[in-house]
Amino acid sequence: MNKCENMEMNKCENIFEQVQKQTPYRTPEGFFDTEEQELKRAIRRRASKRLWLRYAAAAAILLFAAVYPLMHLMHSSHANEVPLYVQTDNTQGEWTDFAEADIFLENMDW
Amino acid sequence: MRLFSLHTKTTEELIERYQQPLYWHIRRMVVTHEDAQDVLQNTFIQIHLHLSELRDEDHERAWVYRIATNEALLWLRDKRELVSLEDEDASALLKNLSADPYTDNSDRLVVLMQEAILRLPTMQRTVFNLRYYDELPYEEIASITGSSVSAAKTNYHYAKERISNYVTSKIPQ
Repeated sequence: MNKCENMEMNKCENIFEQVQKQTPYRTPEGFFDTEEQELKRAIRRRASKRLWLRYAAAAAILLFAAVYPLMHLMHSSHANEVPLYVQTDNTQGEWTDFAEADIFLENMDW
Repeated sequence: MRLFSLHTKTTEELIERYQQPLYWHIRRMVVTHEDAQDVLQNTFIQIHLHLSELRDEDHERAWVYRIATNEALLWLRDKRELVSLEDEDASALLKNLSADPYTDNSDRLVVLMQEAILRLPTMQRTVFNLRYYDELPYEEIASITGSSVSAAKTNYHYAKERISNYVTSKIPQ
């Protein structure tokens, strides 16, 4: 293979040998040392953030799991209470039961 | 907690091992130092997030290069520079080559070669860089680019031809 000794005089037949894998790209001095530290810091920050998010999610689930049965229990305990009654305008009338939108008039004095 | 520390430690090992080769691979695609730095950071974040997908050490290099290549291509697409230089919009890559403060334009032949590379279609450019500069085997190049070994060889052959023709056409008689 021919090498180009003088690019101005000869056409380069094998530029790849001439260039020898050089590129025009450069970096600031010390870039890779500082960049390595910065990359590691970025990864640790992200890992820490994800960890806290996971802890928060787990805590929320545990809290829900603990509170939900209590809420359910409190709701169930109202089932045996006396339903809400309102007094009719008849002084001798019975209380009107509003349970489930059905009104049962007991012993109404018509 | 220990599991998360192991994950982070492995990523840090990959940073130590691949920071420089990945930076240069990305730089050859996006041209400017600032863009390469941003893409490199995105790359290692993706590596960290998807570390569980890394099968074994044999595929490690192809796996990290694939992530880096995809991040660079995404970056170029977002900046509307993901086309060959036959398209007017793609001339931004050439402009970046001359305008970037961390580019040495003193060696004309070296610059001409980069111009020629930047004029290649994206796949040919990627394959050429991986083969010529990174000296990766065709099997890994095929894995990185999602193509076949024969396609990678063909792309490399045509890339070399186009680069050689471009550079020799620019050299005065």
